[in-house]
Amino acid sequence: MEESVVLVVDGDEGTRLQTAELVRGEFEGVSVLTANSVASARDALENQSVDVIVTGYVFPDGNGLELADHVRERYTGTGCILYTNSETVDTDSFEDVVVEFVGKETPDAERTLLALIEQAGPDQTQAAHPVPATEGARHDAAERIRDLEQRLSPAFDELTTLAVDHFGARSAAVTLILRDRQVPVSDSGTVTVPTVREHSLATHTIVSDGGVMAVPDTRADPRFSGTEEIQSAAIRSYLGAAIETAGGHAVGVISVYDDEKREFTAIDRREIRRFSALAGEIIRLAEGGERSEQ
Amino acid sequence: MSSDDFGFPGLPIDPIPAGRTVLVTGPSRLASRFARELVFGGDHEDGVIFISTSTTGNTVATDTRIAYPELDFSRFGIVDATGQTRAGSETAARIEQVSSAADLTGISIKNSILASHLKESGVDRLRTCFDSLSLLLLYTNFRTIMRFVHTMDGRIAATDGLGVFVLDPSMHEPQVTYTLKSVCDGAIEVRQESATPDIRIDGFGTYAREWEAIEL
Repeated sequence: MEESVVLVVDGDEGTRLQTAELVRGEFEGVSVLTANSVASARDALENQSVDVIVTGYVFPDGNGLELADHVRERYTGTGCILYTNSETVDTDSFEDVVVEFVGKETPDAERTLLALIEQAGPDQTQAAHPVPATEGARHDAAERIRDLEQRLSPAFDELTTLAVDHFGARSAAVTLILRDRQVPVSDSGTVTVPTVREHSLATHTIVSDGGVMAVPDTRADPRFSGTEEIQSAAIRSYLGAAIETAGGHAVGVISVYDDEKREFTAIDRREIRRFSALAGEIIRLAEGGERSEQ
Repeated sequence: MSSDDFGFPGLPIDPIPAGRTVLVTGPSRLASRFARELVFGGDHEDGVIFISTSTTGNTVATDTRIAYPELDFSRFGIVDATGQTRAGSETAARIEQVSSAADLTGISIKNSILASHLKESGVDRLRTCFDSLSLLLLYTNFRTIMRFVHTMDGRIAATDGLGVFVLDPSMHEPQVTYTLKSVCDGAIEVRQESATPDIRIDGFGTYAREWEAIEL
């Protein structure tokens, strides 16, 4: 939980401070922010990245589910926990928000809340995408590689150009997968890759068998057919492979895209794996170069 | 076996440590029957929450009373997500209604409320069964289902429970089953090719991944 940020939202000052104190007391190094209304919580989210939000239900300017709905739309990696006395929560207009719920007056409420904060924070247990078992370490590694972006870009530009030619694809990209975003480090061609992690194909690729994923037709694949960002970018077919660090963390993906359906062969899958192995080598060389300069 | 492990008397399954989730895959009715055995056939000190998307709470309670007559119904709760109006409760089990199986927020909240009530009645350990994900996949966005399964998985881990999800792979693309399996800690396939069903276990360490006959 170190360096995590928890936002406690409650209209009642006593409860708000008590909950904030509870969280601070349990988790060393966690920053706890507080807000007393839906509007002030939205402001806090605007200014600061938040890992978990713990919110009451009833507010003069809205309710906790409205706030959770806003979080789901704008801050996809943030966990949401309703912490309230009320057992009458109207979910009719929020069926797909999906939050955790802890009744304040119930036995073990505080212990359950703290355990759920820990689950929802570093382990991302409310994610709408697959999460690797070692997500915390994987994410840290991806952030470190991100710092090398300028050093990596020229080699990755060559690699994506080569991938377009090799696969006869419309576009290729190398992307890093951060906590809730996908960041392109290099792309070649016309495609705009989804930047929200849960909308990306790459986040599925890093947990796929052998680190390779082929999608012959995104419109026919239930995992992606309803994802607007993929469909509006005209990503119809996809082949990608995980890029791993020396420590074995899948920090990103190299992928090729087409705007038409396409069947991929076993050779294609093997070849994209070779491209990703090369990308991994480039990262290792850049890391070594930086260390020797230091 | 640690005292925190969940045991399965009568089944060839080693105890599963607390805080884990299992995906049970197989033909709908058989997978459902097997999943019920995992949650009801164990230690009767454990409480059970059964989340049902296709069978009403009253029917689940009646079926369970017949199949597991020794079960203490005060330790048993049902989330009825069938959307069918209940005509009065006929059971000692506590039933929480959700307007439809698509209301995953409602199911998540009712599950938490039931868990608290069972805790108040002295239940320390919970086995939770979700029957089934296949129905949800028919009319809910895949990302929402992923979020729901992750959230349930997080609660099971946070509260040291046992979670069982049911899925019929014949109704979905293989990659859907693969992805949902990756969220759970282990999976058990169930099939019936002869007089008795077989199971095959994937995950939880030591299993040889071979079919083994069971009695249900």
